[in-house]
This record gives sequence, structure tokens and C-alpha cells, in this order.
Amino acid sequence: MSNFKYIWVAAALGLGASLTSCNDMDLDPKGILAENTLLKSDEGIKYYLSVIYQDLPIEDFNYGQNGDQIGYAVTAANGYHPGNQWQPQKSSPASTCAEACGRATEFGDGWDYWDVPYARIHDINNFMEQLPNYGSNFSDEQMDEYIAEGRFLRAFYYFAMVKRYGGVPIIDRTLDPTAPAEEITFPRDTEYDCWKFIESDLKYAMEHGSRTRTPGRANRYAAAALMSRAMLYAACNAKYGGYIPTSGEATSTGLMGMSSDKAKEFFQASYDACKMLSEAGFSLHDGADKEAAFVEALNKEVSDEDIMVKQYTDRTDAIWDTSLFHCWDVMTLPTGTGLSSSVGCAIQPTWELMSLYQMPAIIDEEGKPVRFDRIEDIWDNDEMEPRARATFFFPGMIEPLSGVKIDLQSGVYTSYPGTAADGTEETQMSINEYTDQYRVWADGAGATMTINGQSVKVSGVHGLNKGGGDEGFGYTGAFIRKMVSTTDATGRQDLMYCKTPWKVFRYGEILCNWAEAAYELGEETGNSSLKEEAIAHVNEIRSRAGARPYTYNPAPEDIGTDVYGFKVDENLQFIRDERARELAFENQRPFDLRRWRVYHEMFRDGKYTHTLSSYYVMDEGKYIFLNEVNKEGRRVNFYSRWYYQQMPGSAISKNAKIIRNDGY
Amino acid sequence: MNKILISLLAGMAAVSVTSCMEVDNFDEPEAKFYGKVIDKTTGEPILAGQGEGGVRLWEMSYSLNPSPQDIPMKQDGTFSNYKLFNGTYDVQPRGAWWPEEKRRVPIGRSTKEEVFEVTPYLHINDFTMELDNTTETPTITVSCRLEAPITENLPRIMRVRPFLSLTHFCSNSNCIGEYNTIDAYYDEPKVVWDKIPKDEDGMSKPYTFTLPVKRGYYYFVRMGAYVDDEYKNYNYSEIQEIQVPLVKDAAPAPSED
Repeated sequence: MSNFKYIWVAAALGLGASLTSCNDMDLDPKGILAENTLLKSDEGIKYYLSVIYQDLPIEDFNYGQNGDQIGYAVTAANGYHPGNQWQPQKSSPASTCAEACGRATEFGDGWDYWDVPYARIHDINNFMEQLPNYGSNFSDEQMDEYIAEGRFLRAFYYFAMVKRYGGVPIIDRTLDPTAPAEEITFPRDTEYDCWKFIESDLKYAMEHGSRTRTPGRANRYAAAALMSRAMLYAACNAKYGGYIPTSGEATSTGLMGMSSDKAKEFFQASYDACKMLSEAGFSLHDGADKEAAFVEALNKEVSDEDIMVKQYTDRTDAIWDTSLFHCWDVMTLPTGTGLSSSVGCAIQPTWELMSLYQMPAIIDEEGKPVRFDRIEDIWDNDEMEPRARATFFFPGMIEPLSGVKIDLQSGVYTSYPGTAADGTEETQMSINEYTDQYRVWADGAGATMTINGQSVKVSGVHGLNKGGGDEGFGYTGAFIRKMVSTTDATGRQDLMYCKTPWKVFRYGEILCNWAEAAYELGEETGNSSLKEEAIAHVNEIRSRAGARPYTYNPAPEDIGTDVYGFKVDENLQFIRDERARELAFENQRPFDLRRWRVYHEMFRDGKYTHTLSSYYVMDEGKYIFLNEVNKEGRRVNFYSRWYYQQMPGSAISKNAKIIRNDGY
Repeated sequence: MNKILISLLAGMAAVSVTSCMEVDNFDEPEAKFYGKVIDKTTGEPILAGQGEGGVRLWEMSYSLNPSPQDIPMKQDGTFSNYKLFNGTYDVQPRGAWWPEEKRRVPIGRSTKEEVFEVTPYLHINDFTMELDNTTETPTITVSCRLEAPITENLPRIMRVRPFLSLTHFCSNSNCIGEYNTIDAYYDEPKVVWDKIPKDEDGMSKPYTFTLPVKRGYYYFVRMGAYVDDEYKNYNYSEIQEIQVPLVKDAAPAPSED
């Protein structure tokens, strides 16, 4: 009983103590880094901006489009909790658009990308409002550069929201969180106004931003690069958005969608930004060895081509919650000595992507598979463009860092008398009577079997591993080489050790943007010299890639109307395919297919992805390659409602003025 | 010590019971809303698929920006929901017909019936079906013609196909899926109405498909087509039934000459 009494006494004392603390609370806390400390020096400003940079919506190695690792690996991945994307390639954007095979096969409904960007936009607005109070520490030019940096960063966040939702509320000043709700809740602005807002921020940043080329920090060139990319999105939404039927309040009030006559001004803005970067002296990183040049352009920081780069370190050096490390090598290479020592092969290139490159034919005029003497002959020739060899590891290639030979073989055909179509069926694992009769598969990787009394190699040590799962071994006939490190093996030892930089903006993309903007402008204005200029930009890319130049077709066929219901001509399709080749695995393609409004038709009702499977034909002693449905047999899907993501429920519950998007 | 524990428990019980005193200020949702969607051109209920399309409701008396709720439509064009809150609703029928404006209706304790008259994008006419049971695998050959009540601004006709089902629910979402992905069992015109090949009476030329079926099964069959609108629901023909006999029919006797 006496114990109980003490508790009461203690509680009474505690109550008394807590009441006294109500006096004198209204003091500035000490030891907090606030504007008055940070905004006085460049070093301090870097501290202020560091979280804004860290959360910048860059679709990098750690970005998950759909699945368990959805979202950006930022201080608040998935919108709420700390980052550190674990195996992000299992949620890869590449597999949602059939660039690669992987687990995420749908673009998806997205996630609530709302609280994080608006929090950072608040920080940026505060930065720009407070900085003039400390102007005595800087020259006028420096002040301009900082404001330009702020406006670039704000545009970057808005771009990530507007490309998902269409119009969102434009908040261009700090709001007082203690003000009554009706003073700080705003309706959505129209999609057109949002794009114009982004344009005006970037225009300022292009004119006033720093000229110093610091790869990890924004300058006027980064602003121009974002302008060239974002304005293409705006223009395409205007030009092609109307072909996707939607109705409802958001559509009728311009919150989602724009009239097609707005396309021209946005294509022009993109065009002008590209031109500015060209005039500023950016160029493609080239060399006599085209393959090596392309590998280097994606693996290292190269000052001629890089416009903005995100840098990483390995997880032992990094502050854990920053997510400034990634898993690219360990997730894309196959498992094996010198290669990946963890998951491996979470994404693997598809035939849909590989077939876009200049490479030897694998099917002859009669429809039969072409016979190759050696498995290496698919790539070890003059026909395949060097960029393809720099983008993929084909069977028989040497992985340069480890010196390991890539050993991929899907199986054996005892004989192959038929056409390629006979041995490829639109079913999982491509099974039919023909394959049952002639094809021999091993259950595991690296298998040798005795067939018809003859000992033959049936599968490579890196795949096919038919009886296994979808990790660690190849099942599409090639691996991703792009961005795999050529200098540093630490990235292969475990997850989150990789530190290859991510090219946020590089001149290769700018030329793709330029070509598209020029061609579309030519379409809008009927100016064929602009169209020819577009092809010149494409051929500049192809020259570095080591591919044959494309010849401008003055009377191109319309190949779009029959498929999509609107015009896409051959030249424009080639420009778009060039973009797919040049920017493969740089996480742009799902968003490109989306803004071109071709995504739902390309994958209507779900489409299988295909392989470049290599088989040894026993009775001939030769190799053949088949593009067949892979053993995982996943289908890629896209529903037209995903052209605009639905407004987050959490945003609507806080602000009833947020009108929902249509189509849901 | 026991006394203390008991008194503490009693106190906790007393506190927790007080929260039961408050009467919930909302009535149980029991307002009824039902009705049907009528094909304006025929006066008959619209030919629909179970759960495809329906009526969307926004409860305007609840919020300025309410989240929508859907009442799916049944195969006979009717819909019903007997568990709604009393209130004022905006309602809009959504499906394979020309878009209808929202209507504002009060839905209350007394039953509220609403009839929507709509114009479907397409009529699926002259649906015929013929069984060939003389071959090893029996087949049915189905055919239909399309008619567009309104041709101006009609979105592209995307797909025409038959649906086979083993139950009397027969539609795009209730059919035998094995036929879905085989090219020979559907047609994709993907063109506007003007470019559809037509007969003299203004209807389309027949779309004909031959599909394998199994012996001894009772099939429900209908045909449908959809246009490139927002919802991409099918317009349907009537449903016909057919029983495939267990044994193969004799081949027709070869003619004498």
C-alpha cells in the first residue's frame, strides 16, 4: 500500500513541475541552424538546399515505377518514410514499358506524390523570400544565380507533379501554416497554367543561372535541359491528349488536358532550349572507338556531354537515410564469379528493345532462322551498331572489369527444319508441337547432356536456368551493359554499394529532344526545313553510336492512324525509336510512351515480352536466335486512365477544392 | 491490494461504458435507388453485360467534392442500391452509349426510381448462329451486322467479336477466356463509321467468325462491339443458346451427280 502512496506523491510533484515550465517558453531555441546562419554564405546555402536536392524527383537507379519499391528513394520514399530502396530494379520503369523483363509490368496508379514536393516547394519559396534579407553578403550577380537555382529546383518539383496529375495548385510564396484553412487551401490551376509556370521559372533560371559547370549542382544549362524535356511533355499533352476520350469536370475546366493549339508554343520553347545548349558548347562524348565512347559517356562523368549528374557513394560511406547509393550492377548482372553476388538479373533486355538497334538479321527472307557459325557472330561483326554492344551484353562477350565471358545459351535443337515461326509460339515458354519434337532444354544453368549419343552443351552458366526463378540467371538471351561499372567492382559485392553516377541531363538526350521538337514544329508550321534539321540531329546521335545515318523521307507514310487513330509518320517514328535506343534504361521511356499517347494501344489487353534466345542446332553444328515468349511469360499492360494519375485521396481530404481527375 | 485492483477495474469499466451512451447521429443508410437504362431508339432496356457500365453517384449534400460511387448495371439494363444515405445526389449513367448529362436527384426514405433513356453507340443486328457438328471438332459460325443510330462524331469502331459462355451471363467480363486472344475470333476495324464496309441498307457488312466448341455443352452466345470512347464498354446483341450434341452428326450424304 505504501508503494501506492509514493506513486501519487511522485505524480503530484511531476504535475507541479510541468506547470512551472509553461513560463518563458517563447524563446529562440539555441543550436538550430536557421536562415540567419545559413543564408549568409555559399556553404550555408548548400546546407539549406541539400534536402531539396536530395528529394529532387529524379527517376534514377533507385526509382520504382510500380511494385514494392514504388517512388523516389528520397528522405520520404512512398511519400512518408525514409528511403534506401532495396532492390529497386524489381519495380523498374524499364519493365513497365517492355524495355526489359522484370516483375513490374504495369505503369500503375502511382503513389501519393504530394506532401513531399509541396514541403520542398515551401522550403524553396522560403529560400527565395528570405535570401534578399542577407543580400549584403553577395554580389547582385550571385543573388541572381541563387534565385535562378531556386526557380530551377521549384520547376523540377512542379514538373514531377504536373506530368503525373495535370494541373495542381501553383504555390509561389510561403504560406503561414497557422493561418485559417480557407486562406491556405487553393484549387488546382489549369494544366496549361502549370506548364506556363514551369516555363517561366526555367526561363528565368536559363537567363540568370550560374555559368559554372558543376556537375552535381544546377546551373543555367541544367535549367535549359529541363526546359527542353518538360516543354516536350507539355506540347505532346496538348497535341495528342485530345485523342484519349475523357469527360468530366477536370477535363471541361482544363485541369487535365489542353487544346491542341497550345502545342506549338511548347515545342518552340523546347527547341529554343536545345539550341541554347548547343550554342553553349555541349557536345556528344565521342571517340574513334564508338563502343568505348558510349560506355564511357554513361559510366563516368564526362564534361563534354554531362549537363547535370547525380553522384553516389557506397553505403559504408553514406549517411544511411540519404539513399545516395544504388544497386545497379548487382541487380542487372548475372550471378557468378566476378559478376553479381546478390540478386542478379532482376531486369533483362527484351527483344522489343534489342530489335530496334541496327543488328544482323536473325530471320532470312524465307522466314527461317539465320544460321551463325559461332554464337559470337550475332554481335562480333560490322553490322551491329557499337551502341548496341555498349548497351547489352550478348552471349560470348567479355565483361571487361572481371574478364568473365558471358555464357548464355537457351537450349539445343536436334534439328531445325522449319521457319522461325514454327518454333515460336505466343505462349509462356513458347511451347508447341514443333518445339516438343526438336527442342531440348536443361533444367539448370551450365548443363551438358547426352543427346542422340552425343555430349552437348545445352545451357550457359549464366542462363538459361529453366527450373529456377526469375533472378540470378538470364532468360532473355542478353544482359544489360549500359551503366554497369567498368572501373569499380565494389558495386558487385552486395546491394547498395554501387556508385556509378546518374546522368540527370546529358547532351545525348538534348539532341533527342531537339530532333523531336524540330520535327513536330515542322509539322505544326508546315516547314520542311525544320523536319530536315530534325533528321540532322538524329544523325549526330547515330554518328556517335556508330550506326548508319537515316535518310530524310520527304513523303513519309503515315503509320499511326491505323494503329492509334492519329497521324505518326515514318520519320517521326524513327526519331522516337532513336530516343528509345539512345536513352534505353534511363527511365524515360514509360513517360515518353505516355506523353505520345501510344502506350495503351501498344500494350492493349496485355502483351508478352520476347527474347533473343540462342540455340545450338545439333545436326548442323550452327547457332540460331529466336525471338520467343520468355519462360516467365509476364504480360505488360497499360490502361488509358493512367495518362493522368488520380489526385491523391490524402490531398482531397485536406483540401476539398481539389477536383478529381476523370477516367477513374 | 485486491481491493485496489477491483476498484481500478470498476473505474475503468465505468469510464469505458460512458462512451456507449452517445447515440450515433447518423441514420443507417437505407435509402433506395433503382432504375433502368433504356435504349431510346427501341424503347427496350439496353442490352448490357453484367457489371459493365452503370450509374455513377456523387452525394452532393455530403461534400462539395464527394468521391464518386458506382452502381453497376445488370445484364437486363437495371441497377439498384438499397443501402444509400438520404441526400441529394448527382447521378450519371455511364456505358456504351452517347454521354448523358448528370442529373440531380433527391434520394430519400421513399423508394426512388430513375429511368435513363440513352442512345447506344451501336446496335448489333442480324445476329445468327449455325452449328456444324459433322467435323471432328464441332464449330459454330456466328455473324452480325452493325448499325449506328448516330453516325456523326461516332468514335472509331475498335473491335467486333463473339462471346461464348457456359452460364446465362454472357458478356466481355463473363465469357470463356480462351477465345479472347486468338486473332481469328475477333475483328479490329479501328476506323470511323464512314470507312466501315456497308450493305445497301446502311448497316455494316456482316462480321462472321467460326469458333470451335465442345460436344455435350450448352452454350450461351452473343456478339458485341465497342467504340473508342472513354469507357470502352461493349454494345451487345441478344443472347442465343445452343446445345452441342454429344455425338457427331453424320456428314451430309454426297450428292448423286
